[in-house]
Amino acid sequence: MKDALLGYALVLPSLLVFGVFVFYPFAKNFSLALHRTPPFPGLPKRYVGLDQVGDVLSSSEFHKSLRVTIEFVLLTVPTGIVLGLLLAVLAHRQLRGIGVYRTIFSSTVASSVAAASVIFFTLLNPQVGLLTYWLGRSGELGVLEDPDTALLAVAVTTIWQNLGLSFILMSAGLQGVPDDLYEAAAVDGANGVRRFWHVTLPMLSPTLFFAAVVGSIMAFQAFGQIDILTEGGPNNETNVLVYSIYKDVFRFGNDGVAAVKAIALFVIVFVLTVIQLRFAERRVSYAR
Amino acid sequence: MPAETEMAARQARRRRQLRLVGRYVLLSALAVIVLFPIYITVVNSLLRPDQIAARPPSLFPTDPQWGAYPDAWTDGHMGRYLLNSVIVTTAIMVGQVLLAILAASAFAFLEFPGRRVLFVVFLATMMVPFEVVFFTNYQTIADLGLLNTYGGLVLPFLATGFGAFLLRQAFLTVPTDLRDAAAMDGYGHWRFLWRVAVPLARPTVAALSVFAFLSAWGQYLWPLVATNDEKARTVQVGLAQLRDTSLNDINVTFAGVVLASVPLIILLLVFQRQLVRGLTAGAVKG
Amino acid sequence: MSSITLAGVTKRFDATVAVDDLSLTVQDHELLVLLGPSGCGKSTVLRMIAGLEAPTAGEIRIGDRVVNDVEPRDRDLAMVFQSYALYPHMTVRANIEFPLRSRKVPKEQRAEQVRAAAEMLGLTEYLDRKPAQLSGGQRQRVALARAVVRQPAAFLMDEPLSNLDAKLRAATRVELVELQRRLEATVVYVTHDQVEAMTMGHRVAILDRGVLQQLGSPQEVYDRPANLFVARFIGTPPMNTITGPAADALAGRAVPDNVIGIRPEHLDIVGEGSGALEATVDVVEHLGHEQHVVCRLADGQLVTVRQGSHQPAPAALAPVRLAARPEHLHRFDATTGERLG
Repeated sequence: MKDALLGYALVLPSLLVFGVFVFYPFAKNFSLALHRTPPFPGLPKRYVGLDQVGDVLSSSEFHKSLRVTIEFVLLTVPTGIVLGLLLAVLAHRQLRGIGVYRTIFSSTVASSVAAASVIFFTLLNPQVGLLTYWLGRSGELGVLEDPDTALLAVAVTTIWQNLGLSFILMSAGLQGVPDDLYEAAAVDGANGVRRFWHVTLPMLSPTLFFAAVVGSIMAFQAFGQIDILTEGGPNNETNVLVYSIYKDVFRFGNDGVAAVKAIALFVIVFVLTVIQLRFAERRVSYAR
Repeated sequence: MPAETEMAARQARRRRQLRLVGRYVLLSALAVIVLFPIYITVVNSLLRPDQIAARPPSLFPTDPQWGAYPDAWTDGHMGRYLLNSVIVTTAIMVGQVLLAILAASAFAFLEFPGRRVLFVVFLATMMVPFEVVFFTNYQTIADLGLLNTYGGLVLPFLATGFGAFLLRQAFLTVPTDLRDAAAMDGYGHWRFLWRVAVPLARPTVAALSVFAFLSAWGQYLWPLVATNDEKARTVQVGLAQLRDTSLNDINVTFAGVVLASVPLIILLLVFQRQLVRGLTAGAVKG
Repeated sequence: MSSITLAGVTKRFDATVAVDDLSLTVQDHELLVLLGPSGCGKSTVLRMIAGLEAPTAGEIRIGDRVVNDVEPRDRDLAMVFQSYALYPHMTVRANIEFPLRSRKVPKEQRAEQVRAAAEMLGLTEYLDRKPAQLSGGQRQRVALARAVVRQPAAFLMDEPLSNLDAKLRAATRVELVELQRRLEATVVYVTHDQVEAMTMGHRVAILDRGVLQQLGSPQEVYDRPANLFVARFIGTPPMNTITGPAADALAGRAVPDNVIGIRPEHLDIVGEGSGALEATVDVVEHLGHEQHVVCRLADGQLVTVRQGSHQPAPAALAPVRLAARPEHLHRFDATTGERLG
């Protein structure tokens, strides 16, 4: 039928792009993972079955990278949500001029990962950085070069950059809480804090869950801020998964190892996405 | 009776006023903290490098030095980078929205064998993060000779499963009677799509456009690997270059950040509503 | 204007048969009503004529042309939808103009045709408004104007009045009949409302569960219903249908396996000793201009008698005798429902 031809034609452009830039490289990862890259370029790759996979997954470098990434996720996601929620609750009032505060709190949406990272990089400059000065570390080991503080600094940069988005998301969630629930709670004798715990939080839980899962997915994929702030160092203390993959390909020319890590990253993100989808499904039927 | 209750009322009012003042103080303190990095960036872009390094640090430019901006624009190549970003981001936005409209219209209005399977395929692409496939895409683009070109920056991002999903949702709300009426009035799928369905889905198209623009503008990983000279380099990677400037030009770095952020700020101020809708579209649907 | 012919048209949706072997012809310049309860398939028939659904079997002709494989836009038909299907983002003018633009009618001619159609339907002062700013009746007229502006071979109308309130419906009915007469239009009109069917149609086609029950003029269908379904569907209050000994009594002879039908206005309450049927009055309904006397027969069946309000109204529970003239009796087969006489 004519409809069918038209249908395929309309879907084709997208499918072509997907084919070349999503499915092909995804499948190629598996092929790459099973072949060891030779030490010298120009020599053919060797099929090694699952040996390389085993080597990478058991390597200390991979474990450290995974640990660093998980630390990063745990540092940035809960903090980001809590701060966003705090700001959203405070700005949810009907005070005069509250619009100005709301704009300020959302303003970090206008910053990109690169911009935020360059700002903090410069502010943390060991010699002239303002933050370095306020932390009392002028002239000493830079925050970004100190293995104990580097990841923290990267996390703070990320939290700040995401604050606007988190604020907007939480505000939208708060708007969805019907006013009469608050009124009912007030009539039942609940004060501010109790109302927050027993009305706001439960009604907000789908938004919180969404923010947590999507935020974690984003955090697992972090790259830009690491590349600009620390380049994975010092001592690989900020060598998150994606940065490690980047180094494997563009510094060591070893895409076999990179492919194994990429598949690992995919599995993690996939699991998180499935959790999100199952929860959303359950929530929908629950609300009904 | 009057004196005691009057005093109690006055005390209650004062307590309320104090609470109000307290709220404003808290809000203002938080606002200062949130705004500080942006504020200090603007300030530092107007100071001389020696002023920036001075201790105690100046928090206000009493004598603004605008020279950092032209330096960032030309020597720092920010002008070129901004142009590249605008071109690439617009191309990605237009491409994504267009392809999403086409695909979504097929899923929503046409019947063809394998429609459901193909839609699942589209959804499946949302599960594959770009970071998992970027290095093979780099190889593909390099093999096609598209490194350092606009094409290389745009091509991998022309299609979006999320966009097709969102627009299909919007198209499904168009009453089937309208389609039948348009068929009777002589309009086939293509003209119905552009004259009826897309105008009716305008809020979603706008939200998707803003979302696409924002994501494309902030891209870092792909422009980093797909370009290595300033011909096609985008503003995000260009900014990263700026951080390597010497301490003698540190104000240029700050000016560069401001320049890089201006387009976004303008866009966000103008399209606030669409932005919020685009950002929360995913959240509401879950 | 053209005639429309359906020959052996059947429509199956998976296991369900929506339309079963339907054959009829809509004459040129005629308003034919497709009447029936919900689910009888009348809308499906209309959509097949329009080309929005394809028949599973059978042939559809417009004039002499077989149109089974012709796209809706090429069939030269105009359709008025129950929901009006107006384009919400366009003005009234743009809505009416829409069908002309796809046919590449030049601009000045378009403007003139739109103006004429709007004037015919009293919409001239609303041309620059959007549908959301119009009342239900006005929207319906925009839908009509959009159909009229194309000067099609025939009009298809799918319950166009059912979304209007009762008073507006009555007024619009008259307007539609006038419009059809003025344009000498061929119209296929779908409705479940028998009053619309009887007052508007030149002929009425009654459908039940996809099967054509009877095709004829309103008076034919009323005076000589082809089967029990038609008999009970047409007429308010509905025809009385009785079986058993009571039927025998009314008919004056034994009529086993038959159902006797008699319209309420043809039943009379008569004096002692003369009537054939014994009954007890259940309820008397006074409608101002007439009375409906609901009576219960000995075996429990209910019959309604319709008489003028000037006639004496019997008391409740009073025994009465009912009679009818033999030429007003209808006889139907009890199993098939077909008319016997």
